Amino acid sequence: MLDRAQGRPALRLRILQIVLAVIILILAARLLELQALRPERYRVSGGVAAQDSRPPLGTILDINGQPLAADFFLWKVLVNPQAFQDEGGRQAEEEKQRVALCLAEILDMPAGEILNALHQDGVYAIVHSGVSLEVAEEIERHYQGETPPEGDEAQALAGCRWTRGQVWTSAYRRRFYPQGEFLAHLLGFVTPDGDSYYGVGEKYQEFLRGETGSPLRRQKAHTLPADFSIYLPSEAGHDLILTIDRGIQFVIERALARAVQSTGAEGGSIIVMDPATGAILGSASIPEYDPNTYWRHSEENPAIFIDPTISLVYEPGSVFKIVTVAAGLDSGAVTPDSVFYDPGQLEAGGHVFQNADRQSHGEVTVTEILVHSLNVGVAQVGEKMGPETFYKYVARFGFGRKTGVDLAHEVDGLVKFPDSRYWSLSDLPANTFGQGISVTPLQMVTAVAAVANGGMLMRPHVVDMLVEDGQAIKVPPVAVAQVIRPETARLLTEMLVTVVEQGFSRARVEGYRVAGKSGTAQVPVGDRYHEEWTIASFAGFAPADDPAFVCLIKLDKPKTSPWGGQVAAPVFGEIAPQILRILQVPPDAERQSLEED
Amino acid sequence: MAYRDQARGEPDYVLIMVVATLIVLGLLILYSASYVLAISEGEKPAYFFLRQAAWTAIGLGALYFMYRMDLRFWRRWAIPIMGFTLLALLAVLIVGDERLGARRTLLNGHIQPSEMAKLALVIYVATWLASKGERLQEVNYGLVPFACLLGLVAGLIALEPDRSTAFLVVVIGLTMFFMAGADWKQLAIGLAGTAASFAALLFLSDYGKRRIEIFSQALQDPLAVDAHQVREAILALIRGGMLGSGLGSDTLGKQPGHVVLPHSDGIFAILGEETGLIGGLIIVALYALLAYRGFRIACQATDTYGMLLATGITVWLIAQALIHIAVVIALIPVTGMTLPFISYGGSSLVSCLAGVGLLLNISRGGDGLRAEEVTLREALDVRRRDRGTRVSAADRRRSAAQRNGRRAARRSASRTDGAAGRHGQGTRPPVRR
Repeated sequence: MLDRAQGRPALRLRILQIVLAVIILILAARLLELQALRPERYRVSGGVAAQDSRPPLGTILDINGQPLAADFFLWKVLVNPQAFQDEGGRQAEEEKQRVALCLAEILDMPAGEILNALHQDGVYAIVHSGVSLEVAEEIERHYQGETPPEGDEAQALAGCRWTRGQVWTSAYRRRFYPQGEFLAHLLGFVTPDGDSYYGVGEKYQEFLRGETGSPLRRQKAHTLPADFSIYLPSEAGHDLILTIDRGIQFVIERALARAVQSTGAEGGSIIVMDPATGAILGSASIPEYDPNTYWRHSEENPAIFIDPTISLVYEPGSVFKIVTVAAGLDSGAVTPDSVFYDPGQLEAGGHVFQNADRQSHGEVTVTEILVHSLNVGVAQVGEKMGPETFYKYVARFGFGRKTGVDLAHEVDGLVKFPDSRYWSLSDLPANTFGQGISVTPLQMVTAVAAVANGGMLMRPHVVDMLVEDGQAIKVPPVAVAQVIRPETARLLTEMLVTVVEQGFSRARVEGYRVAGKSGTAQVPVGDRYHEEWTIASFAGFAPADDPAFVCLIKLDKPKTSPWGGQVAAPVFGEIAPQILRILQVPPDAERQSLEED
Repeated sequence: MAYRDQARGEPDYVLIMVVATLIVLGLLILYSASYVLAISEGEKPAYFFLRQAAWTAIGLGALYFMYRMDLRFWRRWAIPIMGFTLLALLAVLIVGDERLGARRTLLNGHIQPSEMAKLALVIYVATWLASKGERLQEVNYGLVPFACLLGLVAGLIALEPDRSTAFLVVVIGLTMFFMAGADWKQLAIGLAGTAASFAALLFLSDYGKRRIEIFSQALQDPLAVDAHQVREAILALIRGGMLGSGLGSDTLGKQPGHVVLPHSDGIFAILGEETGLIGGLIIVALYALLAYRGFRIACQATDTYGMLLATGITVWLIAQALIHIAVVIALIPVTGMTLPFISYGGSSLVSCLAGVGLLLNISRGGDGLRAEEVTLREALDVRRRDRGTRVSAADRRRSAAQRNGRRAARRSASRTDGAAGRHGQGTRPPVRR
């Protein structure tokens, strides 16, 4: 027997060894994968400082150093239901009830819930998922061996004692937006795992995590002003200072909420931009959400996270006439005083286009076309310069492509150019007054800003400074192109001033000359326009001779009146004085006398 | 009544070094992994460390005892030992202390019979299989009684419930069955039966199903698992990276609410966090070396009984270590299994060290079977060692060799060339047929 048994074990042992060797190699490979080949971002340094698996994210401040988004710590309260069994079943039950009552007092929650947690299976149960440092410390004070808390209130809890194995706290990072719904779309939100979604948070995710350095490394770094060092640098070491001015943002959010409510609109947006740099000073949209509690929307209405100013398109309507007239003036096809005969309707490509008032206005100048917002007249301007010239300017103003703003999920918009097979003859007149063309609110305000900025189109941006370990790097403004000549811009501005002065009394601002244009766009539903729905908007800037800001107000489906001039223009008249005050722009007369001196 | 130290070779020093290294490293790791837990349970930081150190001393005593005892002793007492073990397993089910939803311990958590059961089973199965000889090939003598025996032990352990230990016991048993020269067909049936019963055990209980679910999640992305135990262990390993944060550093994994049971079932995660990939691979390499030496001892054993014992012990130790590591790195479903020589736990440590003692005993070559029986008293009497080197022992050996005939002596010597050379002996004691 032994001969057989010993002759074969050698072979059988070899088989066994090979099987084991393979298993060991698999284990080693897995260890290698987990510990050496994982991407860098999974690695968290040792030590208690790394209290959570999610990496810290940098702080986001507004232009004046006010916090808009920051990390902070919350504490989970956990219990180990199995840690009460040492003294036998009955006593364990009494012990659990005692601890539940004590915790209920400290955490200010029903004792029953805590008792439920204490009766779960497993070695830990979460009693409370987010308490403050003070509460966590209170729980620590009741550990056996710690000095008992003092004071009258503590007297009631004097008998509360537990071990670290029974009750403990665990800190974790949370993203905090101190002002809740304020600027939500632009900021985006952060999941408990530390992933940022939407807005500037998603766009700068790697930077805020400290994974990548500033994309502007070669720029000169400055030491942070003292005002900013209250909140900076953060634990992550990489922070952002936005171009957003919290004061302006507050003004436009309040005005937008009021306008949406008073007009019965479904929603709307307001964007305020510095035309000289493309810096976005404020951006508000309704409906909004609170990024602190974003998950409440993630199931029933995830579309609420989408920023309507950059990710949704609309037909701009008559505001787009600014672009058409700019093209006509700059190409030399028309002058402000060129006269057109308006027969009240115009036929092109089988479609008949009418003025909004369905009337003929006879002989009109280009300025009057803008003032009265004549569709037929502006279509004639378009026909005069021809599709090639018109669409060249449409493209130059940045329509049909992303503006390149530093926010996540910007869309291109939709422009049918003549070289597209979908373009038809009727598109030219329709496009001249902003129909059949889809733009984002940001594209529209950026184009108007180019007019305000002497014809120079600036790339919009929301980040003013990148801060790396206390060193601030200014984001330089980016000039995209000189889309119209400065003289054209000046002429057009004067025409837009006339539009406000003759048309929109409620958009005027005392002491300042305001340029602007309203728009009332029908809403396409399928292949037709809805009979009642409109998008009412107004784009304007002030002061006209040296614009400090450009603003676009857009209201979706207002009920009190469909007209942009009636619902959107007054909002401009309401917010413009406040914005001018915040930006400390003296009234025209005062400013001009200063300049003369 | 005699010792045969001179008759037999030296113990496997490499194995001794490997186990010594594992014990020393194990104590260091355990101290680091357990002090936070100790504090949180209201004990002194060194609580677990000191207890483990005491158990190590007891375990070394057990090791020495197993090393000294004549192998024949275990053969003779195999049935009572097994009977006692079965009684202990039954006792656990009836009067055991319930902890974490299972009855696994006796005497207020101090003794865990399933740990002892592994060693007892190895001894018993080795005895049983060796006694069967050729008849093992017959189903009625081989597979059927063997399956009943293994099923009984594994079933009792599975009832605690401790499915992973039950699984380990079956793995050990089947491997020994395989090494004893079992028929391939019977082996296939045995494997299929085992697989079927464990599949049933897992899929028929909600508990098991949930674990399978977690496991399949973990294979895809270990960090996406919503099982705390799996996720925390993986996170600890990832935090450790290549070099780890240093043994004894204040790592996150051992804080309350992170790695589950950082001092026992989760100790490899703490090890990975503090000593990194390098430390983990060193430990894996030590176990691999232990297995290699163990199989070598099995290969060089002079009889079937010794070969089976050595195989059983080696498979037990290495399989337990690999299962522990595989659980931590989420390669197999979650189960509670200690890491031999490193995890906290007296029963486990003592029985593992006792197993190593037995291995070392076998490694000395020769055979306890042919030798006259060594009494318990003699085995425990250290001084007797010197007296064992009396000349008369050699005389007796020579006469014994003559009794057994030259052919047997030659065969034995040629089979164990390496061992014989190492012992500096021209011939090896013959083997009883």
